[in-house]
Amino acid sequence: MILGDLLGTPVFDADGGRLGRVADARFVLEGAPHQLMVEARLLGLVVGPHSASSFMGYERNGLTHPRLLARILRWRHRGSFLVLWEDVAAVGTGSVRLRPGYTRYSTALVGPGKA
Amino acid sequence: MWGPNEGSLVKRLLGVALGVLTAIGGFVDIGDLVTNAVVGSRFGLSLVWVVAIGVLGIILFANMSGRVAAVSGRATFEVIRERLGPRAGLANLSASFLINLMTVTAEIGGIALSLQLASSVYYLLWIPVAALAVWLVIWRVRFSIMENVTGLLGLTLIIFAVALFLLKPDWGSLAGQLTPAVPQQETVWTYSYYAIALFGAAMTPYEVFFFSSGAVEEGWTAKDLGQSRINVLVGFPLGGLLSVSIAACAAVVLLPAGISVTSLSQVVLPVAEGAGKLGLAFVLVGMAAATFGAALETTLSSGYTLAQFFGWSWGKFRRPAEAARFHLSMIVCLLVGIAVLATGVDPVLVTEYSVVFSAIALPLTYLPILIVANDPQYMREHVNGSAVNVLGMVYLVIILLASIAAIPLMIATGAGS
Amino acid sequence: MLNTPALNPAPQSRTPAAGRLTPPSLAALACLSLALLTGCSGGTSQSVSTAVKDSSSAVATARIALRQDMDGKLTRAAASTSLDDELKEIQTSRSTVLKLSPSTQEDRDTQKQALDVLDQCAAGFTTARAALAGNDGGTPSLPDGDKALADAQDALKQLEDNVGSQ
Repeated sequence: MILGDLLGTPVFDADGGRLGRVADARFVLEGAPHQLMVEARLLGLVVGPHSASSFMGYERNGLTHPRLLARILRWRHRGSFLVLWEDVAAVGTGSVRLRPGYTRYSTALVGPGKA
Repeated sequence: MWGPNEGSLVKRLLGVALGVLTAIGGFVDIGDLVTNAVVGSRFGLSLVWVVAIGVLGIILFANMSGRVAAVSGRATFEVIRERLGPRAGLANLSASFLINLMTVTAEIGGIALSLQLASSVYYLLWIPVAALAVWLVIWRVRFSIMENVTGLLGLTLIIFAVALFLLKPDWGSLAGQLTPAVPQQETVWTYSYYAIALFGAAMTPYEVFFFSSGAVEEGWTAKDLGQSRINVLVGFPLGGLLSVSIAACAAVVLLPAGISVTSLSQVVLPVAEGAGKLGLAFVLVGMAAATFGAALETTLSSGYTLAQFFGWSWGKFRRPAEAARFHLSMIVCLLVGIAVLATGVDPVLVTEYSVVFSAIALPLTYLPILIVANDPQYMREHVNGSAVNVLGMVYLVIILLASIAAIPLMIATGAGS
Repeated sequence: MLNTPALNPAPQSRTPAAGRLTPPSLAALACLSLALLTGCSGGTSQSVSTAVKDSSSAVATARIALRQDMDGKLTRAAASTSLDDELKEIQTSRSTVLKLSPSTQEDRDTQKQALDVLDQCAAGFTTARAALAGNDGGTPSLPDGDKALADAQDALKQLEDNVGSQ
């Protein structure tokens, strides 16, 4: 299984309650420089209760224009949250299950971000 | 098409003039020629308002994508892949690429039909010749020369406007047709269908792929934005006027005779009526140049979209051997176009479908560009102003409506018949 | 490969996602488009009327081209291309009418009439093309060609009125 297959997979909590679908995966670049670049570490998954479609860049707080479009896209992704990879209990072919007592983090990225 | 901005004042003025002139000559392609003539012969001037909306739309769209390309150095499909991700991006690429391929086919057919009108040699015999010429030019000729020569020769299409004056129409009644109204013998459905076709003809997506990729080809930077803005703001409205004069010629000569346009030979009759053999010579040169120029642009666009999406090296500024996959994919597209035309399918019919499908696919490229033009990470201080954004959102709604309504209307009207 | 604990079966059955086309809605869509398509193909008089309209347009175009050629406004190449294009249009209309399968006597009469008129159009084009190709003072002359097309145009007009009054 590759990471791309995970997008759109339903996510359930420990009791089998449906939380939404995997909308995105977050990585952090950290650690010692490797052969080409520093290693990327999978920080966690973004779970969207209403939509697993792309955020089109509006996960960054700094992006507010065009206003109407930003509002529509944020509304489509309302209630989405980030769960850390440590809080993921199991990844199956058709579902992702979280550990009991997982933490919901905000999906927002601060500022326009740097490339 | 959009010369660099160094040099003396005279040289700069010449550069501006050249840019504007090629923008006018390059505006019209087989889609504009056929759709405007069909609409003029069936609906008079009652759909001119759509041309106006379309021209304003393409100005907005070309301005945004040119700015994105000049500032971020990324062409349209690089942006689409980055913003939509590989999966949605691939769906987008497939749709845009197929419609572009359809346009390549229509343009090559248009060259062949123009050459048939000039020589009376059957158009199917001209098709391999036209495709070979397109390939040779893409392979050998420098980008700026290619753009300037076809753009300037395409300017001879101004004969449509001249012929309109020589026809001495009743200007009062012609102006009276300008109000949006469904003519007696047509239904509101065919009227709406051709409104979408006309919109798609004015706002063909390939113009935007080409415009943004051309900006990268010519090495634009933020400094060149002024020149490109003038080309677009002056050149495209004048190109739009050219489109309207094609429709007006058809409305004056063909509509009263009960002729609805189904072939390119009908498109030139009003010019011959008004301006005689000399006019005919001008219009044939203009049509051949405009369709040839558009065939070059669409063929290059198909190479650009594929190469940008898959990350191949691309561009005419590289030697063909250094961009082998880019050039190979264009050869394959030309061969597919020849194969489709060899079945004997009517190029005018392919054109009519291609403009409607262009309208259907438009949101796929428009939305990512609108979003990225607002992203400071790509655009730094060159993000959209609020006026542009208001207009951009209005057009997003128009483009979505046209795209959604197109297929039901196509079925309900039997593709406008 | 993701480094995760053992596979886990889905805890509950998946519901179809909103906005996706489910089989019933797909079938409904197919029926609707089929109904639209058959509705648009119409009956005999509808098809004949379309064929007549297309043919009138073609004959009118040919007459303009021929007149422009006589006035020295059109090149021979453009005029003959125009005649070829419009003859093709007549042939398309003719084969549409030929393929109709009328169910009533009235429709059969309409089909027969239309075929006669379209044959007359084709004959008019033959005369016009021969005139254009010859054009050396022999017969048929360009005015002969125009006359043949004008007659065809009249016949089309009459047929249009007949079909329209039904």
